[in-house]
Amino acid sequence: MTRYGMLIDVSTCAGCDACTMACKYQNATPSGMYWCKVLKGEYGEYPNSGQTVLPMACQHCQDAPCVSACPTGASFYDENRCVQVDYEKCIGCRMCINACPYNARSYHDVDQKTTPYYEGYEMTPYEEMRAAEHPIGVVEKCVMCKERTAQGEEPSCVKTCITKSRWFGDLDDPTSEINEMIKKLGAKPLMEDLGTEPSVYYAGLV
Amino acid sequence: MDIKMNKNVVLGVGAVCLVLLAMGLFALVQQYSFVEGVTSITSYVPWGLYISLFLFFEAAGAGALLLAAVGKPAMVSRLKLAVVGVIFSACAGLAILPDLGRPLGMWRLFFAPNIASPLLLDVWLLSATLVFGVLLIVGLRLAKPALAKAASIGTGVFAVLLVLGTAIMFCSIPGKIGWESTAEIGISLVQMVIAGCAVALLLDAVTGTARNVSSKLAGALLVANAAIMLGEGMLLAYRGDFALRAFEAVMFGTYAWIFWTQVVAGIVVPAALLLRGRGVQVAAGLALAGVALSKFVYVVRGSIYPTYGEISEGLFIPFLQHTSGPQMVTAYVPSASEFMVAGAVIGLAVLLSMAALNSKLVPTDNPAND
Amino acid sequence: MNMSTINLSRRGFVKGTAALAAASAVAGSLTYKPVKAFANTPNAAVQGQAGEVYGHCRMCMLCGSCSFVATMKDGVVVNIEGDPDRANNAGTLCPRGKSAIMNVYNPHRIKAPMKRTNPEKGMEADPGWVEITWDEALDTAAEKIRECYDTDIRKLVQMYSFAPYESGHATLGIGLWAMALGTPNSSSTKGQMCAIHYGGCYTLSAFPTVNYDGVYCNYLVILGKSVGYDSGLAGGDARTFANCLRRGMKYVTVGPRASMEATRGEWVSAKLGSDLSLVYAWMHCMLYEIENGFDEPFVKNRTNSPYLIDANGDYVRGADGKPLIWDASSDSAKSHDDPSLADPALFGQYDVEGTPCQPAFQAFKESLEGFTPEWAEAYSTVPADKIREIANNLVKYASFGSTVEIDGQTLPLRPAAVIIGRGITNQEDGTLCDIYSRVLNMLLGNVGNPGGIISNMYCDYLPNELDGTTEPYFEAKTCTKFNWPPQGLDYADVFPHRHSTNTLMMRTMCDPEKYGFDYKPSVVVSCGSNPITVTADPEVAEQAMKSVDYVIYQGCYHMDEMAMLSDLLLPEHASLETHTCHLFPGNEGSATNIDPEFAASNRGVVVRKGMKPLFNTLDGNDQLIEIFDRMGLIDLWNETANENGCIGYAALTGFGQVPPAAVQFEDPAYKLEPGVKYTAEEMFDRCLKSAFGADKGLDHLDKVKMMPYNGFYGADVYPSHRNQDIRFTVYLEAQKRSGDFLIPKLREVQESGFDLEGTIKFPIDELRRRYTALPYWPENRQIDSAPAEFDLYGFNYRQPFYMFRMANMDQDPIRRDYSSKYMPDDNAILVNAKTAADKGIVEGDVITVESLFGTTKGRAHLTETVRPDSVGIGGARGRKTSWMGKDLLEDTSMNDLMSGDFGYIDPIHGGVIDTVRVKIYKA
Repeated sequence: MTRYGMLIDVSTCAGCDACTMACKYQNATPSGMYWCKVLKGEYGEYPNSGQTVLPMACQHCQDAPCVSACPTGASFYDENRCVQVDYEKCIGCRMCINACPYNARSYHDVDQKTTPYYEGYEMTPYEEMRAAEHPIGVVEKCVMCKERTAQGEEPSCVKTCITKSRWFGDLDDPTSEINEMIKKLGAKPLMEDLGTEPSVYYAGLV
Repeated sequence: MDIKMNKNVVLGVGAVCLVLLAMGLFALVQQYSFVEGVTSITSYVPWGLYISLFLFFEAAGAGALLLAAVGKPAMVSRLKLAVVGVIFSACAGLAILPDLGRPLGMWRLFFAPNIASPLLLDVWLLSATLVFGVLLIVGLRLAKPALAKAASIGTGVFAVLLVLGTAIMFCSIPGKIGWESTAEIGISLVQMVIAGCAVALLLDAVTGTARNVSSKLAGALLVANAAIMLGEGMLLAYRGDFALRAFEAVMFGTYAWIFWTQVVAGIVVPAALLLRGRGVQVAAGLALAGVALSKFVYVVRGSIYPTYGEISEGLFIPFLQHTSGPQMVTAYVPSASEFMVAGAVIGLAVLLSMAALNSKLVPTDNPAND
Repeated sequence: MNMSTINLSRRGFVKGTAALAAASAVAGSLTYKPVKAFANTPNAAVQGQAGEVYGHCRMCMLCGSCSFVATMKDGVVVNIEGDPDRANNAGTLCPRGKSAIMNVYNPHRIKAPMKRTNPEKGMEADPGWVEITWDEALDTAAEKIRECYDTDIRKLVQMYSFAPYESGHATLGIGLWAMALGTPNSSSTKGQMCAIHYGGCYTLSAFPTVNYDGVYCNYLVILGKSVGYDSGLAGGDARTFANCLRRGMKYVTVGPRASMEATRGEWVSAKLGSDLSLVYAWMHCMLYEIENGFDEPFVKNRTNSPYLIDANGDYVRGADGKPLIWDASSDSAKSHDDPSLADPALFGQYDVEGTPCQPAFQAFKESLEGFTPEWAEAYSTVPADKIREIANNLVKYASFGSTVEIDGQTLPLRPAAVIIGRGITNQEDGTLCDIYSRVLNMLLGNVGNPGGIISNMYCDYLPNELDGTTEPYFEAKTCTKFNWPPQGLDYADVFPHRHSTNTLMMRTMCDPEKYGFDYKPSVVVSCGSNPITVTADPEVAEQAMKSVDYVIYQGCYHMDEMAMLSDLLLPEHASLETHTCHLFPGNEGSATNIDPEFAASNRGVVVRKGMKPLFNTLDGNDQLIEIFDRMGLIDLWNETANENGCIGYAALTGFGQVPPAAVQFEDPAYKLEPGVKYTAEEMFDRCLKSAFGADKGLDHLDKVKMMPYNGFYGADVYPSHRNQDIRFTVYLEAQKRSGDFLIPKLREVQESGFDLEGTIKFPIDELRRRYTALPYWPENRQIDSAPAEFDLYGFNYRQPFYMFRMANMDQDPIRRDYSSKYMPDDNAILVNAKTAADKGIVEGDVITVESLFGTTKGRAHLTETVRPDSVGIGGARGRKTSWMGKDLLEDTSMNDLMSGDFGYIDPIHGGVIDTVRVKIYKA
């Protein structure tokens, strides 16, 4: 079995949001929707303070609450054990959004024609070309760049990371680089105790 | 038709309901043209007014059906309750439809479902309740005791299971800490009976001793409702864990006024009135409104402190910041369209109930016995 | 219009543009339209372009450091990624580079040449644009410029900048063509807030600035600079920073805010504008407190510290004119390059043939005596112990005497350094900070060595053969010329070492006579440059643009403030639409690192082969060529290109940088011939063939994407290894010499009756003091003497989304939307939580920041990551016209708080003071 996973070393993340933008343009998500985002915050009290960053997207859980919760089976595990949404089956009930402890899902309920990227203008040719990839009335999320990975490429966020703080690979392959790095960095999934068994690992969380 | 109420009242209420329905249809067209901002639903507040309305109608419908099933009052009274119970339960289902992004795909819930999903508890239990409710009406109306009896058992059991199932579904959702509290199972069941009693009292469906009992029962259950909430509040004070912060937020955050209105006008006042047997219908109305508010507060509570709030402590998401009070996600205020669609569902429920009660379905005279 | 046709005649060209113009007229106007911008199908889509377009990105100041591949489908760009074939960005692309797509489809683009019909100019006044043919547009431009050329070329003002457009930077655009015409008024609107060049140019021939060695450095102190994370650069700086973190390098960031970089290392919170006190205190510790606190052999043999100076501070020279050094081993003065020189004395008092003298280092050390850590603490608020700790760490990590083997060669290893940036140089004492931070590194012996600091162009040191030292070059070049009446409107005669004083130029343009000029400018040509919002004082720049007869906006891109003040618009292609090439790193390679895997060893010519242009725009270089041709001056154009090269930064060729910043015409057979009008592509092609060979023209480059040119490898990456003799300048003799020349001239002007001091709002005596060779403390700085009601310090910091104003960075709708939702500091004013509590400000309050010069508004974001005495405003945002989108007017703008007036700049390098005293209150 293949189980695609990702490792993010937060301790070297620059918080630049290159991944956010790479994801945005890779997937041409509708205006205002971001499958990948970098949440920002801070810790400590002046002068012993600093910034925190947390790149977030679908954690591709192996025991995914969204898949269990979906009443129509629209959310499912694909052949690489990534969680996907079948837009044909989705009825837009948003049960999965409620179920996801990571807030990884977005509801697409706005016609892109009425809210193009440039507010007050028509859609750019880029949007016109790609709007059809996003049917209305369904729930969307990170697809682990399935089209790219099918061709042996890394997901867009991994490829673009300017500090090379993301790794992608097969978690079921004990010899994979990602497994080696997870061990080396002592990475763990987020909110492990929920038992969702995410395929995204984090190192260096404050 | 077999108009039993004041004709002018019927016409007036009917006209208002039709206006509400027209407005709702207009809003629905807006909503399905997918214009930004037509609903206040976001990826952070995925469920709102429609789900609250569902919970309210479910409580009132199931409560009415439960009383219709277990009651020993006159046939017409049971019939009235059963008819209203079925209509309310059906409207509960209806309230959900406009919430779906693709309502036309809902056939999948019946014919291609994912049976592991707790949402299906709702779907199937509601369906079963409706089927038994209709059978109960048929049994009562056609005076078929055996059918009425069998249907009573089915209706009673499924009405309770329906509310239980919904409560369990909410508690089972890991992404929303505000819904996690099992106290809500108790509150849901208690509120179901309160709402049933209130419907019965409003419909004048109970008389004499039964009316007295219903009134006291509702009063007592309101006290119980308050007691469970107090229990939750005390847990918060003693334990102070993250899960309970959502409850703290509804008590003191942006929604505080709704919460406290519900407590005072929806619990304290009606409980006092009901227990003292005064202004019973007003009290019933207040109690019913209290249940509705409580359902709204419960739904929005899920989004105030979502589970990911735990990992994002210290993180700052500008457009999620609180408007006031200790919550994390911006307050959900239903849009005009949502109010209009919800108004239409309520209008439809009232219109159907009124039509049914004033039709030959419910006979004028009390037949001697069932 | 990508003119790939060879020998395109002028008639053919005219026909082509006319046809395009006609086509656009038929298809409905493609000119600027506020709403239905995309009513017409763009040209390229019709032609069904598919596949990939690729090339170097130029959307930040590290022009060409990254390459991209953009995917096309039916003529539409559908995705863009980093080019994995390019070592420098290794497949990565930053958040700005991604927005190249929105840069193409920006509805605010200017889509055809246009002229103004409403003579009244203003930020909101409808110019009444009328679309014209390229023929008419170029003829008009040529006529206006030729008129200046024929009468008084000084009347021509040309401005260039960072730009979304090519012409601001490419080929001859960066001022060279205007200088070739002879005008003294070629001015950069960029760089007024980046005056970090003087010190690097002065001390180690480093332009534009100085990097640290990400391979060997173990301890880096960062003052007012982003070394990668806070800029979010894909070109290698951030990756180097990450790699350094992984190998355990220590970063110490001194500043008012716990930035990402400060978070990743150690944050030392210091009062704004106090950096100089720290630099002095660290040097004090190294010279007075720490045993073996400086690299003595390096200071003795690789700096001018032992040079003997007389009572005037001038070098004591021998008969051959060479500066003398006291050799302690023989107790005699010897020429600095005397092979018998064994032990140069650093201290003591000597007598050379009757002249009492001392080693410069003696004077240098004495000048630092009072700058104790306790003194610096009082000024900077950094505890004296912390100052000592950092000084000790610098010395400890520098590990004097240690060496490293690189490629079988032994090099000194000095893995500790101090690096600086705009944050400290843009102060009134910026020159001092800039230069003495470099001097501090000399004491550490790390200059040009593994682990230390290095020119980010890896260039050879420019030698002063007589003195044996580095020769200040570019803007640090020793002043030997002075004109009165002044020539350049930027007051270059008074500020000969300015990087850019465009804000001063805006003032003098409004009233040249008042400032002593004997002429009045009449034509402005802006090459993709916007003086209104780029620095301070937008209303002054607006006035300046209104004061001239005719304004040409060449290489314009969108309807920005400059366009609103122009008479003629010559729009350029979007970034993804051009076919061009560039020498990387031609000017600004990497900001900070010298990883041999990175820029040094990967220099070369990079290509960009873009998509078909969507609109009736024209390549910026071709615009200039056409204008020169129509002026009848094509030979001048060709000759200028022949002399300076035309790929990369040709304007820098004259400064003697080795290797040169532009590809040179090496084989004369390919030089541009007189009387022939080449297209830009043909120019590039000939230049490439001339430098690389007959079969290595532009077609070849299109295929290989990059051709190596003058890279450095192995130990040769380190310039102090390449040149092991040259001495660096601890003692700033050349700066003093500049002053010795300049100050008497200024006094003459003052005495002649012209109130120069009043005009420049700076006493000449104080200026004399600043042109000195030794450290001193400048009192009474603006930042220290603001009225007490301005109780806080306002500062600006980098945001990866909104650096500079290049490309359409502040317009990109996706970044605007995302940052408004997910970035705590988006359009925010960072206020320390305690300060906010004192002032009754809560999170999210809209507050006003007010300085002596202006105000800006923003949402208060309460944080523990800024100093209680400071407020921060991030990014380069804020617009003055709504013609690019109304919401841009609401952006929080640091520039509105600053002043670029005389008296508010560093008096030597001219940097506009970018830290201002402010007060805040609820709006």
